[in-house]
Parts: sequence; C-alpha cells; structure tokens
Amino acid sequence: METTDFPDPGKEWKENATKRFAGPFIGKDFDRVNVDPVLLAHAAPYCGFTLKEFYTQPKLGARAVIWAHEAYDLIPVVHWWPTIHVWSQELGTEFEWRTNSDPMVKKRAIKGPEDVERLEVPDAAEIKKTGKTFLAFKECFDYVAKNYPDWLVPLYYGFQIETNAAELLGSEDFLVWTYKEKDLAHKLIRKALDTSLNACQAIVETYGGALIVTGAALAGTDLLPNDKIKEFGVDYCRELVKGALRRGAGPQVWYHLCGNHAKDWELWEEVPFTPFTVFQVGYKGRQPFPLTDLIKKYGRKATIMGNVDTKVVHSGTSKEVYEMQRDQILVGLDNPNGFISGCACELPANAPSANITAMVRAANDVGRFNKR
Amino acid sequence: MTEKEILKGLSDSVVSGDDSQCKIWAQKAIDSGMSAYRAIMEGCGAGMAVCSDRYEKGEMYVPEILMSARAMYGAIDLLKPHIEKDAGGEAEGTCVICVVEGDVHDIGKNLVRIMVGASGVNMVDLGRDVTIEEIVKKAKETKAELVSLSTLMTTTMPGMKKTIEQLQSAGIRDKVKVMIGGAPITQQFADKIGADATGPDAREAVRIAERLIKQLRSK
Repeated sequence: METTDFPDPGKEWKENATKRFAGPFIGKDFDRVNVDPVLLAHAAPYCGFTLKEFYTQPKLGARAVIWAHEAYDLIPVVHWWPTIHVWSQELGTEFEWRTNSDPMVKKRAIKGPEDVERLEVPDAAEIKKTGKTFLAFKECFDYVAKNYPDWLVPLYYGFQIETNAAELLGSEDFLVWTYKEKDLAHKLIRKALDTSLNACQAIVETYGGALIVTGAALAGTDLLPNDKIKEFGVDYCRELVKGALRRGAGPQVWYHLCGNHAKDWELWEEVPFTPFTVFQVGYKGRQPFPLTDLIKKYGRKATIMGNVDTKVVHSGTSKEVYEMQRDQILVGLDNPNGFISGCACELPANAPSANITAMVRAANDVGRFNKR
Repeated sequence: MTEKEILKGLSDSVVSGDDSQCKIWAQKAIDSGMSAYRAIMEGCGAGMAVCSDRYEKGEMYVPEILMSARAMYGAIDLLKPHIEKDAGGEAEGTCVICVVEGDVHDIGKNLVRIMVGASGVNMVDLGRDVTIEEIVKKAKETKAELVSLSTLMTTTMPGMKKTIEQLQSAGIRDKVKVMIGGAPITQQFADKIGADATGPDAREAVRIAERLIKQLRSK
C-alpha cells in the first residue's frame, strides 16, 4: 500500500472537525463532543496493512491515520509514533518490528548498574542528525507538512519518563532499583529525562511549538506505593513538562495516566496545568476511572478525556461500547473546561471497526450541544 | 541451632527481600542436615506466603515481592541439589507459564509464577514471547495440569485462542486446564476462546490454580 492510495481529505469535514476540536480549548462549542479514541496503530489493519508497516513507514502510517480519523469522523490530528518507547533508541535500545505485533525491545540500552554511568545523553544537534526516534517523527511530520499542512500538529512525546527509563534496563530490574538502588534509579531516569528534553528541543527547533504528550504507566497503583509514585513519577513528570515548556513546546499538554491509578490519581495535581491541558486517567482498579471524580478534582483546570473501557472496545459488542460511551459523555459534558470522549487507553489495533463507529454514533446521539 | 530457628531465618530473609541473608540461612539448613524440601516449603515458602498475604492487604508492593522472590530463588538454587536425598515432597501439580508470542511484558507473569509457585505448584516458566509450539510441547513433556498464559497487548491476545486450539489438536486439552491473564483480558474474552479461568491479579491466580487443579483431579 502507498500513501497515494487514499482519497484526499475532505475540506468541509476538516473545517468542521477543526472547529469541533478547538471547542473545549477556546470555550466555544461547535456541534458535538469530540471523539478521540487515540487511534494509532489501528489505522494499519483498518486500511489493510501490517503493524510493522505502520511503525516502520512513517509516511504511510501518518496517511492512514489521517484517513481513519476522517472516515470514522474523529479529530483532525495526526497521532503517529514509531514506538511507545520514545527516545530510548537515542540511548542505544534496539527494537524488533514483527508483522503484526507492537514493537518489542530486542536489545536493552544497559544491562546493569555498571552501565548507567556510561550512558551518554545526546544533545539536540546530535538527535537531529542521528536520533532514530527523531528521524522517524521527522519523516512523518515532513510528509504531513508538505502534503497536508493544515493537519500538522507537531507532537512531542515526552511520555511516561519513568517507564521509558525502565525500558532501558528492563522493567522488573528497574522496579527493584526503586527500592534497593535508589540512586541508580534516579540517575537512569535523569538520563532518560535529559534525552527526552533534548529531543523536545530538536522538535521545537524544527517545527515550532508542539503538543506535549506525557503521563505515567509504571508509576501507578498496581506496581508502586504513593511515596514511590511521587518520587519516581510525579516529580519527574513535572520536571519534564516544565522543561518542555521552557524549550518552547506547548502550551497544549496531554496527560495520560495509563493503567490503574486508584490510589495515586490525586498526587498528579502537582504537575503543571497550562490553559490548554487535557487530563486523562485510565483505570480505577479494573474499571475505567470515574469521570465524576476527575471532574471534581481537575475539571476547573483541565479538559477531561475518556473514558470507555478499552477492554470492551476490543472484546465487547458494539451495543456495549455504545452504551458505555453514551454514559461517559452524559457525565463528561458537565466538565467546566470541556470534554473529549475516548477510550481509557490507546485504541487497540485490532478493535472491531464497528465499535469505533458505535462511539461516534453515541457522540452524535447524546453529545450534541444544541440538544442540551 | 534448631530447625525452627533456621526456618524462621529463611522465612524472615525472604520477607525482607535480603538475598545474601537468605543464602546464608539456606547454607545453614544444608549444613544442619535438615530436609532441603522442608527448608524450601516451610522456610522460603512460608516467607513467600507472608509476602503474598501482605501484598493482598496492600502492605507490600510489586518491587518488594520481586525482591523477596529473588531472595527465595537464591536460596532454592542452593537447596535444590539436596532435595533428591529427601523422602517425599511432591509438588501440588505442574504449571507451564509464559507470556505469549509477540509480547515481552512479563511482570504480571512473573508475579503469578512467584505466588502460585509459593503455594506449592511446580512452575515451568518458559519466559516471554513464547511460540504456541513451545507451549504445547512443554505441556506434554511435563504432563502439566495447568497452562498459564499472559499478555499485556491486545495484538497478541489471538495467540491465546490458538494455543487452546493447539492443545486440543495435540489431544491433551482434557488433561490440562488453561488460565489466562493480563490487563486487556476480560471474563468475556476468556469464555469466548474456551479458557478455563481468568482473574484480575496474581493473588487471585493462586486461588484459581488451586481450584482448577482440584477440578481436574476430581474428574
């Protein structure tokens, strides 16, 4: 499949979707609530090619994401990334891309404590020249800028910095380090953070202000107690966002707290909230995090996003998805700073198309502003 | 030094995740001539049971469990060669456990291995990114009563269904119970692919494993 195998994006659809997308941030509702299930690799099976092609062919990946967003009537933003483990290739991690799996770590950047010191953080100039993650994003952004300039929203995936650091070593060893080798764990996160912020600088210097995407995954209730989540998650996330803003990224920030945050979700009030902040928490235990709690705590300073159970979008029926999305929208629309409906996590690549359609249908049925 | 003191030393060092102390106590057990199997089960195993209990109550977290498990395995490595000399000591069944092909996220799988293993089941850990052929082959070889499959990724969930189909084709489906787990797994999915059980976490896995083995043996 080629990038030229798709029809040109519809102009009228794009105009309307842009107005709809801007609504929560400018306080001006357009027609209905946005639907953003965080559609990334789903674009591949949806358009008939493999996950490997999606991750390794940025132009094709981006083009398919554009088409899928329009076809489903989602938001006019190109989500694309080469791997969830952003910037770890810049520190020596090697990946393996298989036909229909997500990218897998083939070789870790470090093997043990003795390797932490020798990890060299590349500066922005070096990242621009040789950074594998950066060059993949560049191929995507350059393609979109050249062919679909009004779709280009440069993204800086700062992402879950504690998780990225853990990927350099291996999650299990890293978790043990947070207890037994705290200094080493901090050193490793520091190197991951500095690399990530240098990558941010490289993106900003090349494309201007970029949406900051960040959050936490390992730093969550399933794995760590709150004092460790603060020490290894919240504090570094705060530093990452402040650092990114200082480098010219933002002001849009999207926080995605991945997985179960039943006990730590209130700790995150310490991270910076810009006037254009989207806040999303995946789960409370095994259930999607209740929007009512999020609205109460964060609704005055952020646009709230979520929160249809991703497991249901993957394995449930369209009726179940429709009803869940309907119920979430009815709660979410009351958020004073706006609401974006979506899943609790990235849309599963192999989720049935019918279930995404069900989400949009529910938005059309109960998420229209003129019916409220 | 009494056996009771040695068992307590083993148990306490497992609970505190002190791997060097745990090895010292294991060596003391060997030197004292006590049953190595007893040292593992009533020393290390008892310590891991305390950890499991505290984990369930939210008093211990995953890194501490991992540290305790590492301490326990260090001691078991020392004690294992001495088990043959002992009489008795049969495991409560055998479980082949792995992360399915295409996925390398193994923290959940390792927790299940640790917890279910501590309850007395012989865990045959095939690791992560394991092919269906390997799983079926090992289940046959070890005459496993349980196969425990884990994944964090939705893209690799179909591998669980195919594994169950292959166990069927290999003619051993009625001799083995299949439990599946991982963040994206629902009861609905487990039912749909014909798995025997799923649960939300490693704590529940212990109860499920016990129940499934009982079911299989009562047939």
